[in-house]
Amino acid sequence: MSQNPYMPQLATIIEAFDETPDIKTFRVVLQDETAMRAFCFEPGQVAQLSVFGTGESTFVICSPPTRMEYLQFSVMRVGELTHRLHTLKEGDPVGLRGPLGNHFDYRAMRGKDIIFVGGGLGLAPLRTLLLFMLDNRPDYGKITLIYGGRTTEHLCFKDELREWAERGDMRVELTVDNPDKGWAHRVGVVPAVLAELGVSPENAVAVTCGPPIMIRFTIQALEQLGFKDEQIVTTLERRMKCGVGLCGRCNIGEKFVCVDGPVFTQAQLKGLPQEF
Amino acid sequence: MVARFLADEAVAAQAAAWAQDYRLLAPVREGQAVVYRPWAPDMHPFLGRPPSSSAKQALLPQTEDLLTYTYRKDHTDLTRTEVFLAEPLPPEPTLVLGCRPCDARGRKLLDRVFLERGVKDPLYAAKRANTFFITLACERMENTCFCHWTGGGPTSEEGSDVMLFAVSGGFVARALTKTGEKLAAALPEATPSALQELEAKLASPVEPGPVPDLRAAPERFLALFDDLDFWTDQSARCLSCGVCTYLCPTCSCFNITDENFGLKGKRLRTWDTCMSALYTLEGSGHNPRVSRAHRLRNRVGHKFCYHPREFPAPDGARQPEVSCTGCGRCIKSCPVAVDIRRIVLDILEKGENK
Amino acid sequence: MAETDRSENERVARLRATVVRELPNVDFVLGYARGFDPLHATPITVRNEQDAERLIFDATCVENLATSLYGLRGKRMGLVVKGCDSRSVVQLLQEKLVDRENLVIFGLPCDGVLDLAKVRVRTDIAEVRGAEFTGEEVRLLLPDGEKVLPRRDVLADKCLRCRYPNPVVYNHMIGAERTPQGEEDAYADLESFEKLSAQERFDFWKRQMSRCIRCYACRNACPLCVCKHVCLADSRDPHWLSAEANLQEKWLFQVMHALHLAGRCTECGECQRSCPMGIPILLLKRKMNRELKEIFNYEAGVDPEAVPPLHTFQMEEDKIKDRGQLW
Repeated sequence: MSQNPYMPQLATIIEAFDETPDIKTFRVVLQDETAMRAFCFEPGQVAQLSVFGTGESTFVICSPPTRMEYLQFSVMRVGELTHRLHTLKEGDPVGLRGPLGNHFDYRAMRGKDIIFVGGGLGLAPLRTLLLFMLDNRPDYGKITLIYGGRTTEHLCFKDELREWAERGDMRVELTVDNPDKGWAHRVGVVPAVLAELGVSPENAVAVTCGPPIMIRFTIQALEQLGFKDEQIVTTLERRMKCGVGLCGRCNIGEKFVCVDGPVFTQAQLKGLPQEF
Repeated sequence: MVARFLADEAVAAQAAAWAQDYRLLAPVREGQAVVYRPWAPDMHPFLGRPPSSSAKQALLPQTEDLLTYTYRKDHTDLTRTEVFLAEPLPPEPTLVLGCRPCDARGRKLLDRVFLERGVKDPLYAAKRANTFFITLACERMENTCFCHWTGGGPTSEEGSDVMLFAVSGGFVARALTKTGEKLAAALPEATPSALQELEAKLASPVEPGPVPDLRAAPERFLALFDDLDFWTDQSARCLSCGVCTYLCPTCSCFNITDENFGLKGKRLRTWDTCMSALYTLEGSGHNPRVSRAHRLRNRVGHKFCYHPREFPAPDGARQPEVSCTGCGRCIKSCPVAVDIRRIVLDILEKGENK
Repeated sequence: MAETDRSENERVARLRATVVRELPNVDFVLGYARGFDPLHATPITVRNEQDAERLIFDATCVENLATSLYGLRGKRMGLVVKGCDSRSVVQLLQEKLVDRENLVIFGLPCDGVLDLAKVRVRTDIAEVRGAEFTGEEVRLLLPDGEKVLPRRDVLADKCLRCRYPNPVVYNHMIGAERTPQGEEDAYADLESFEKLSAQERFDFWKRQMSRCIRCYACRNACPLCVCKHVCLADSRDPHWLSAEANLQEKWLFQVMHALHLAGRCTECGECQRSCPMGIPILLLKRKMNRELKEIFNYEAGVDPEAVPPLHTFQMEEDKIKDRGQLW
């Protein structure tokens, strides 16, 4: 592998499928099989995907390190690079730089109850940690997932949601803002569900990710339930370019989201200049 | 180490001699500006004024290739493509002639980012190991100069390989590094009278103005962080252009973009500026630094708060290490005369009671 | 103290008083204060009486504050303008890019502003300690004594040909109206430039543009550049310009800038003044303006009711002979 941190490794898309109308999931493997076998990452870490000629963007590796047949990325179509990515298909080459950034402190979460609170594509980073925990199920206490979207159409990983709900060793609560006919789950925004369920902060950690507005109200709801700042974990998103703490743009004070993040506890966030 | 002498009339010939071994960048006058240009036989290096742009371009060019790529179609199945990547070529050894001490000191601050923060930047490192500075000591401080705030001065040696001191008829040259000695070796020894003149000059240095105590700057900046009225007033005049950051010897932020030409192309690294709204604009449309006030706050904060917090000065230091060498280009060339010194003084004053 | 000086001091006092009177009606007033040295003014936001005491007005007040208008659209604000600056306001009003009712304009008839580049050619001002503008003289206090420059030698070119020293749009006119001194613009600079061969002109621009650092001060200082971050210089989709610092990209931007300003540019000169590399880009805009003047007999930023010629069309244009084969 190159010593040059800007040099991506070549990878191939082995599977690409739609999650929602504007989210597509890509499964990729490194072209160099030895490098793929040696590829090591922790849940929550991100990678840069390149489409040469268009550019690079940062995405969380949403498959867990316990399942290394491929690396999975779920990508919402918002900008130049993601539009281009969405045109790619199985067999197409991409570049991959990573893993980058910090990760969820899953060691500190051992023995605790875990509450995942996600909205929309915010389930992607939660998925990597959730699957990692399910693959190491005895290490963790009760696992709850509260997940919502604008409509049923906007929910990601639908097959897995069903699978998780049927597992019996975790609880899944789904909610949408605007239900279709036949929606058998909750209606309303995620923070409201959280309050309704009255989740206990006792020996628990809440991990939340979603649109900024959802995160804000989720954190408020968690605080009202008695969760302390150290018990609330979230991820930040920033425009990133280099991914290795050099290009400057993702700084919050002297911290860089690409290196010191993307995972932060609420306690850490409170110690930063408020510029998110 | 013997002091050498570079006569005024020998500058061009000596520059030509150095240009045999190095990519030589020397300042020339062009219209109102003084800009660094690669050596050309008809060039007349101009050392009379500090260059308009900083010498950082020798280490961090305005654009450079990070990689090149080529797509190749599979002839048996045209829907399939392969891609091949290539790393950029190693840099040429470079010699910068006629920068000022504030520029040379900028090297250390660029090192902080590209070599010491975490991941080593190989492109920068290669240039850094192969770029040398022949610095001209300043004889005065202009209205925009404030190197003495940042631990420097008109004759600071830090970051330079050879220092030139203006005396009658030319410059006394003092080598400061091994490479500097090699560079200066071709020059004749300085005469006793030239050395005497230099002694006399150095004995009565420029008297700079008072220096504020910057140790409180990080804390007071943070105290004022959420006072958006303060930042709105400070930035009322800012045009959000890139003059300050692009001319700065220490600003190091960059952008990465791809340029595609058919089946080939390159990934470029380009200077970027935190004064631009696009710098932090996210794909979703969210922008954490949505106004000029937010962006100016980041530029000042980075230099006088975040940097000293990231690289704390040793205990008992009289001043923190700031990410600024006081060259004053951001003041001198700002179209609307934004004065970073004034902003820092206002932070020190108004942040005290916050 | 010279007579003119006294009246100018009184004028600044009147400006301050008028601004203070209007403060309750606006969020703030954008005016000039002294910058980092006696030859520099810098814009300030005036929010209270104390701020108003910092207001100045003299030959150093070069910036065109109308540049900030579009970005601050929606605020109720006051604005200090010279005659030339007021033309930018007119143009913005024509294009409905600002709302007149949100603006309180303090118009200051103007005797011309300095071109610091011209001052620098004549004397070293890097350590200037003081400056006085009396009558036809500029007196500079320098470390090695006083230097007197004839005012006309150091005025901006636009002032030498200014026919609008008095603001054309204002709420308060502060100071006596000036008699326009400028001659009819004969575009002498363009005339002599265009005597060069195409190759010579191209070589000139290649040399000039090669120093461009793509800081876009020219764009951001332009009161009429309102595309903000959808500017073609930054757009990736469509991808007009590469990020490479080569001549072609730099040149293409300037050409597009000039074309976008055809019939809109009031030649306030902020693009050129703002360029840290001293590239004479106003010449490109003057070229467009001369053509517009010739073809449409139009001058930008004079009449708020006028429609800029490239914002409309007529079936028959006086000076455009189409080939009659369009239909």
